[in-house]
Amino acid sequence: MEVKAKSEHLLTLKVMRLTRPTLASPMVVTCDSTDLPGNTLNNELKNDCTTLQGMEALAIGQFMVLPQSFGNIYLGEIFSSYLCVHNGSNQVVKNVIVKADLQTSTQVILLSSNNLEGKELAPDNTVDEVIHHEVKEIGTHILVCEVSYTNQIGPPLSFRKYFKFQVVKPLDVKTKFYNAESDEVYLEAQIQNLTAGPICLEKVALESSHLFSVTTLNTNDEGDSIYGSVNLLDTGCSRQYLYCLKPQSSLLKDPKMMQNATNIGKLDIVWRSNLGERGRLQTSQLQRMAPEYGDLRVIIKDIPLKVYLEEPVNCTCHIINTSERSMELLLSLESNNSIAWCGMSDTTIGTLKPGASMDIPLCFITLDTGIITISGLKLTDTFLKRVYDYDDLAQIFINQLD
Amino acid sequence: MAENNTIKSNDRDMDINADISRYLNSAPPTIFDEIIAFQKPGLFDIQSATVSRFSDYDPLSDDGQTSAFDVDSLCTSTTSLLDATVDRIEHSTLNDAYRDIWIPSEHTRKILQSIATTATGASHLDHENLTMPGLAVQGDMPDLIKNASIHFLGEDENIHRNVLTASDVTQDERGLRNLIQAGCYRAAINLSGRLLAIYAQGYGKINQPSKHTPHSLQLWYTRLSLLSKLRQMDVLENESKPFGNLDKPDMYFTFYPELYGTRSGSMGSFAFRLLLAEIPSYYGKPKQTLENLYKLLATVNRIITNFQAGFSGEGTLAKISKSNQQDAVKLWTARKSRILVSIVNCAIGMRNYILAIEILEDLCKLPDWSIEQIGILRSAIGRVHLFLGDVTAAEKFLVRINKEEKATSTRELVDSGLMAVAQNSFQEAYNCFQSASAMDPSNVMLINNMAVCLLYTGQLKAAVWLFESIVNRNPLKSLQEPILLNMCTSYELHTTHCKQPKLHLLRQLNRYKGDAADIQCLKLAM
Repeated sequence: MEVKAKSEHLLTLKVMRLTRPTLASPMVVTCDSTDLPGNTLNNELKNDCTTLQGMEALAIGQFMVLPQSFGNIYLGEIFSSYLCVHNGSNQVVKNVIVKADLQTSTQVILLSSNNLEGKELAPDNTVDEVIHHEVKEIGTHILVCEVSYTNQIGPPLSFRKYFKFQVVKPLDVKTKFYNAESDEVYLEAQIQNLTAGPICLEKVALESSHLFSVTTLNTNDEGDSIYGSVNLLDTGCSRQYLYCLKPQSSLLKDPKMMQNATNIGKLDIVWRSNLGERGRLQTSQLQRMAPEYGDLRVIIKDIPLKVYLEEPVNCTCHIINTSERSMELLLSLESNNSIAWCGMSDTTIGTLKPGASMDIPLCFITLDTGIITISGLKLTDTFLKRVYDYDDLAQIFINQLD
Repeated sequence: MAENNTIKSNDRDMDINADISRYLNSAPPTIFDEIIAFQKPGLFDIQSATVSRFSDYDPLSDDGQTSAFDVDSLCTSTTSLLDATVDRIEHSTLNDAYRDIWIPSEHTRKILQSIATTATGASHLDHENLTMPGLAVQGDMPDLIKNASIHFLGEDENIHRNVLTASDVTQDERGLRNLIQAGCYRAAINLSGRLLAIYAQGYGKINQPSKHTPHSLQLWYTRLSLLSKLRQMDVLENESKPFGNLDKPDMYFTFYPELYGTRSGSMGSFAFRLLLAEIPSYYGKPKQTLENLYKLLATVNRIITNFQAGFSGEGTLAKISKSNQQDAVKLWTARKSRILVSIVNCAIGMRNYILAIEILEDLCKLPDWSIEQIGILRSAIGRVHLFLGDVTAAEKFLVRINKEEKATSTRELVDSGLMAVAQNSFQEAYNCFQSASAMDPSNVMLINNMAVCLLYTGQLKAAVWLFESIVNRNPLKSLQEPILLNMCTSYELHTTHCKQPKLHLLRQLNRYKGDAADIQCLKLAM
């Protein structure tokens, strides 16, 4: 835009945002030699500067075009801009200082300060600078550029220019935690592309706290991505990432510490768009809700993988005292329509100190096919006369014996 | 001659201002807009629209093309998919029957059958079974470069304008070819309009029955090709619609037994059919184009299968010699590849990179490519990965396996340069394009890319100098729209006094180029 300088300054400042260049491609229209245009259109295509030589019909460019608009800028991207101060007058100016600040709603960041004090800028010469800044805030940003200089006579002169832009959110990240019986924690992260075009999620990694070790569950057995051969997330679309966190062995031994291990880690996300334009976001520390076990925690372990109808099933009942006091426990078993317990009910299983655990072997016979729930287990603290019912200990699938 | 084809010089002069302003004022606001009335942070909301804008620049298409007819480079150009297709057709002894084969839709087939077997012929047909095209614009398209030159540089500059108009050439297809060759697309479109008026298909004739010949359809094909090249979307949409997908009964030779006897096949050429399939994507309906292209692909597959089985292309019993059969299969296989390429182009236009990569990978598997062509296809796949931002995947296709080995072709160097751009290493990219340019000094794309890299490394002046040097060295070849766009963007960044260098470019366009260039790329304000 040609705007006549309102003031009579000798220098002018121009600013251009540098996003990645785009690649132009030709308008492909081809014809056979028997068609009316003969080879004229094909020849013209070959001479087009944007054509892919050797395969002219393919509209895949290599000709770089400078950015034509400010475009969108997203949190985590690098804001790059060209600052050009031009001496459009016919006299030499001195002591040019170009200063660029970025104002956000919370702070002012100094991006550049180009000091040419004591130096001269001849007519038609320029002071050039390319600035880079990773945007770390959402909302209104103002680039404030100040140019000061002195002419041959008189006091220093200066002028300012302001450029405003909005930084918007590129991704929406939703997380969900699952606390498994095995003390593993599963994290499901749903990432939605809020940008205006397709992006490539280059890296989505869970950087766990030292309490856990992480396994990423986003590749198949061959190590290929489960999201398909082309790593692309279209605008508006979402993707789920799944991670398994195993507590460190020291943590497993101490139920109290396990209970307090709520810091899971951070998600580190790197994405790219047009011609490798890069952005990076890190979530804040993710917190899980520690499962509430009450006074006692009961886990059924060692359930066989394949269970047939009316066959005895052996498993182990792992009991942990998660309370602050010692407990004297009585184990009761109650059969129902789907399982019949084998063995003695109402047996005293002994004293359990705070934090201590014990394994009780159990046996039952299945009475129904399909998914059944192991239920009917009851623990009584004989000292306080408190009763703990366990009617949903585990689920197993029962096969028909063929 | 129809009334609308005489040149009305008065009207044209009157149109000048309106026309130019239409092109100039619609130039998108640039990134140089600044907040003028900025006073205090409280004014944010009022000014919010000033700088932050959604990109209205489609990264994968530019605004039409200028011609760059250059005899020298024609002779040296390498063989290509284009050539391969053309050569195969030319060198085969196939007669028209194999070339024109097309399988009509069931509805059309029944009508054609009844025409061939009854005495009444086609006279009783409803309008809905007829193709009734016509021009959608009255009068000639103006030469915008000439008009802008007169506006900005004065009448005197017009003596340097030395380009052909529709009236300067023979009023036939030879004249059309001359105009296209000279880059005078608008004049060629004007001439095509005059010639079509002879077929009673001029302005206002849409939906009125008229006779078709292979020649009239070739005129339409040429006209619509050029309208596509100039991105005249509205005209293109209105003038292409009456043809549908070239499947009305009157588009087949069988429709005219009195003229062509028992000859079968399509009266419109394959290139016309392909263009009609592609046109919706030019006016914003790429999904329609994908659907059209897949329909074409299905028919071509049937034709290939028929030929391979020893039938005629339509699938009827016929005597075909072994060599003719092979040539026909070859021809139609090449056409199949061409359709696949169009699907890739359409997919890239709609940023459906997954489809584009899938088809490119399928194309790679076809057996007929040379090693060089496979290389080009692989680097095309790499570049699509770059478009979508997948640098890691792109690397697999673009970086040479043996890094010790020096890059042997400009293509490999360009690939490395684009990779460097993706990694934000513009200095390294510059070096790659420079090495490539040393191997291929006349390639303006390489010099353009060098200049763009210079700008990104803060060397605007050097970039401007490089742009100007190529234009001075070879104006005919360098005055192409994308280059002009980059130059004017650089000028605008450089100084507020950028009108003079822009007018200098306009002067050169006026002297050297036909009427096809869109002067919007000069970003001149009225």
